[in-house]
Amino acid sequence: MPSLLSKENLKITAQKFNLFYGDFQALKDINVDIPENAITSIIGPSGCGKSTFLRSINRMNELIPSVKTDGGIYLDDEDIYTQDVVELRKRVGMVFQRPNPFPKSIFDNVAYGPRAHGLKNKAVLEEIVEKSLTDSALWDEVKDNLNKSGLALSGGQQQRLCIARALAVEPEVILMDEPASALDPIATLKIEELIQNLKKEYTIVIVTHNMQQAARASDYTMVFNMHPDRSGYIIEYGKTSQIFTNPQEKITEDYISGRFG
Amino acid sequence: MKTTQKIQQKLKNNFLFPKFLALFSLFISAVFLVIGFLSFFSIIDLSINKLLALITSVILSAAFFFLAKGFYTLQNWARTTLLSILLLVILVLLVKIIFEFSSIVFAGKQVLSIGEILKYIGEYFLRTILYISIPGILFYFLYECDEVFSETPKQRHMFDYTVKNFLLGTALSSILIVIFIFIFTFQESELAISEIGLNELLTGTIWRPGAIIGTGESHFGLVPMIIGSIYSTIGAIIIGIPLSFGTAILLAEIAPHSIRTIFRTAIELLSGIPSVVYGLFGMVVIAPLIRMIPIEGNTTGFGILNASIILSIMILPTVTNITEDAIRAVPQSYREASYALGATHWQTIKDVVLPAANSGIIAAVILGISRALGETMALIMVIGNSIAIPSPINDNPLSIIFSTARTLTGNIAVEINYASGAHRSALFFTGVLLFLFLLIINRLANHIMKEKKTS
Amino acid sequence: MNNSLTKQQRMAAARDKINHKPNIRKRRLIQSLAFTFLWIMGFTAIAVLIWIVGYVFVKGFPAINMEFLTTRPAGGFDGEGGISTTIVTTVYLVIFTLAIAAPLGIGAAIYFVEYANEGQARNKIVRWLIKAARTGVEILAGVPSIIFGLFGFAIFVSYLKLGFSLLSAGLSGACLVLPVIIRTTEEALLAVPESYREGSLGLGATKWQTVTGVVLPAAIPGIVTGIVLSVGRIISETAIFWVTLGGSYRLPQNLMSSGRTLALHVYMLATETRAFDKAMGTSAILIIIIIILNLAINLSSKYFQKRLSGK
Repeated sequence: MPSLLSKENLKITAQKFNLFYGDFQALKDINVDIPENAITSIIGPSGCGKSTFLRSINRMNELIPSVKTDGGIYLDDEDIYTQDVVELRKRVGMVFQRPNPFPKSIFDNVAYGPRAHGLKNKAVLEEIVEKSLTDSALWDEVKDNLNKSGLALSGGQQQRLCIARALAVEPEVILMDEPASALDPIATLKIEELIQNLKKEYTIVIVTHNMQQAARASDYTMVFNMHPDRSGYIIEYGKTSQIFTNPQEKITEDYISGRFG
Repeated sequence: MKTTQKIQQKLKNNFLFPKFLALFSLFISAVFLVIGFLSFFSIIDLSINKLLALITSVILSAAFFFLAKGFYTLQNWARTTLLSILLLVILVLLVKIIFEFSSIVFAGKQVLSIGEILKYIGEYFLRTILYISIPGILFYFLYECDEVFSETPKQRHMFDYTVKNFLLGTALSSILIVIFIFIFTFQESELAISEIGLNELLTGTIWRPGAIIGTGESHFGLVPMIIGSIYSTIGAIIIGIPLSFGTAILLAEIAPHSIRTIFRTAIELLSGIPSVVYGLFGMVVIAPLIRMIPIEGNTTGFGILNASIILSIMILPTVTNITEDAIRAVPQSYREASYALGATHWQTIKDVVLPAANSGIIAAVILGISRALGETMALIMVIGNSIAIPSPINDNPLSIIFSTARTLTGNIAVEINYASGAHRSALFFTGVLLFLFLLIINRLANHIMKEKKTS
Repeated sequence: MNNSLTKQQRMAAARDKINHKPNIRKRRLIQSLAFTFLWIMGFTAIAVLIWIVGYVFVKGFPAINMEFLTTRPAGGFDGEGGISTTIVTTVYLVIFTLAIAAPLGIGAAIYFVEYANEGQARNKIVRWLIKAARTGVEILAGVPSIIFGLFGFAIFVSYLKLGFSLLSAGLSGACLVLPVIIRTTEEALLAVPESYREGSLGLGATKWQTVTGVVLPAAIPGIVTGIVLSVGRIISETAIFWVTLGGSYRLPQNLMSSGRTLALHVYMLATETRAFDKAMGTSAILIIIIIILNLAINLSSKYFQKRLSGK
């Protein structure tokens, strides 16, 4: 597959990808590469289809009946539409904008994914739960009482719980849809630190409205915009440093410097 | 507990147990096959048709063969099937034991004393353990063995597909029941339509199923019952609507929160009281009270008045709740606009809120009528059950409320147990009539309520 | 223009009327009368409740004693005996009816809420089936119990030759409470936040795993409420069981035996015997059971709400 970025290992590529809600085209001709073990951020004005594209990567947008897609998205050079969707979602995890822990205990929240995929050995589950909570920087705060309800935690803790829950199925890619937008600044910082640590083992794609966050925290950036017919497309993408200091397109430059968006 | 953990550990890694089950299933499969052939060739004699026995045994044998294969290759579906069968067996055994135990304890003239009950509890508890132990232990072992079994994604998809269609089946059960009700009640009433005729049924004024009275001619006119139902419903509406509306407006607009909670609990309780209790109350309390009214010809205390009073209380919860909901659904902005113009609270209610809620109120009345028409047992107990057309008991036409009557529903309930032939068919016809009529007005009410929600 | 006043004079008079507000006292008076009437209506309703329940309790409690509860009814014009077998029969009937209606109802509700929209919307036949199913529930909810009794009589007692039995009564009763269970379960399932489902599917769980692992557990309070409501309904019903269960006062030995529930017993005592005190006693017990059930619903919903919003 010809790549538009050279030298890096590509985890996900989109080729001529289009998405329709019924007759309305939400994404038009998306072509992009997402490298492995790096943080790629998706920025752009509201309504350009950033979240829609994110949710296409793990086929979550299939939950909406009127959705039709065209073109391909490839995970490790394999078309995601040829794979079993349940297996795909094991490899590609998601963290949502608003923390959504289940009304179960902390332990059961994290263990839910592995259990759903067939793991029942209690000792192994305990290990997985501890590792996931440690990796999401929540272990020290909850290790004394894993039976507490997940809903009894603070907002920032809940989001870290959701991250731990996503890590527990040992995905290869983690998709994050504005994970810190519902949190206070201190919790946001914690999440950002966490994401930096995660990139060693996982490929991370994160939609964000916060350009400072994108500029300081991600390795690669893709910039979305809207056509006059309200379909979304990618203006350009590349290394974050290059996008923010030397953007190729004027629209990108205008957006980054705050002239619109 | 260390031992259970050890057992669990062993089971999880043990491939022998499923292989043992596979062998066992194979054995059962062979046994079925052998029995089938032996029976077919008349070597042994089961008291069923030989060909049928052979076919059944082959099918069962094949089933167990596949089960054996499933266990041998550690397929999850085999495990699930056997677990379900074991669960069913355990359930059936439990039901049998409970029935037996209850028979001994409760069936006598007198329930047994505590001492004897304890003795039997002990005995039956041991029995339960004995019966349940074999399938139970098998169940436990198989359950803990789960890690050894696996399933392919294709199987998982088939499972999901089956689940989805099975659930569709349960969803269709309601409409299936409705269709069956239609078919069966229509079928049973056909005899009446052909032998008695729609004309007689719907316009005839005499109901006298001849077979009972002994006279040759029988009449099956439903008009007396139709009138009885209508009058009692009208009476219930006359008494019940002011009560319900008043209470609803009170609760929705005027009463403070604490009083509202008390009222709501009370109304909930009213709606939960069984209809026979209302009937009993009507017989024992209301009837004597009515008898005290000094009107010429008023002797029994049973009749349309009694029925109306009881019915009005029974429809109170329904009408009140729906009306209250309709009033609460009126947007606060309407009220604020009215107050801002200097209207009093009562004027606001009368001129703004109630008109805005009128579709919900109409729906409430319709549902109240439907409830009143459908009520059976309570009315049988208080309305007198006479088969003549209700008529005034003295010169004053209003005294018709003291007349006894019979409702359509009461007619069915009172006579169905010993009716036969055309008589019985006529009763089914009454049921069909009621069913269709209530269907129409219920749909009407639902339609009105839905329209309100969308507007 | 035949008015004796000019337009300006008329407008001035109208303005005067509003400014003077001479009828505010009249309107306030009307309001007081109206509100008094409303309060009277309300308290009449309460008074009726207290009257009925009070009367039943006062007349009924004296008849309740250990002998009453533990003796079998013995028939006869004076209504000998107690209610032991009727209590057990009622319990049998409730369990059996729920055993049929609960799986059917909960399954149907799960289908309506979780499955009825996704993807299937493309298939016209399935869409039509779903519409038919929903209409079926609506129709069933409005059928009076005597019709269920008639239907049960026609199909179970006569056609399938099951006779007057727990089986016939249970099957008929299941038809009666099915809409209740479907409606309350649907409500409970709809109340589960969509984010739970998304979270579960995003982790790679299948739809069925999501339903059983996340949605159903969160909806349990509502489902339990529906079941308790059904229990109350079954216990209170008479017409339908009068026609399918028969009235034998012996204890049912198995599913094919006839029997008598508490409510049926009240009816038969009231209409076939003179034992009104025993009828009142049985009624009192019925009312107590209903009160307990209502309390159970109220308390359990409060308890579950606390648990779901974090301990």
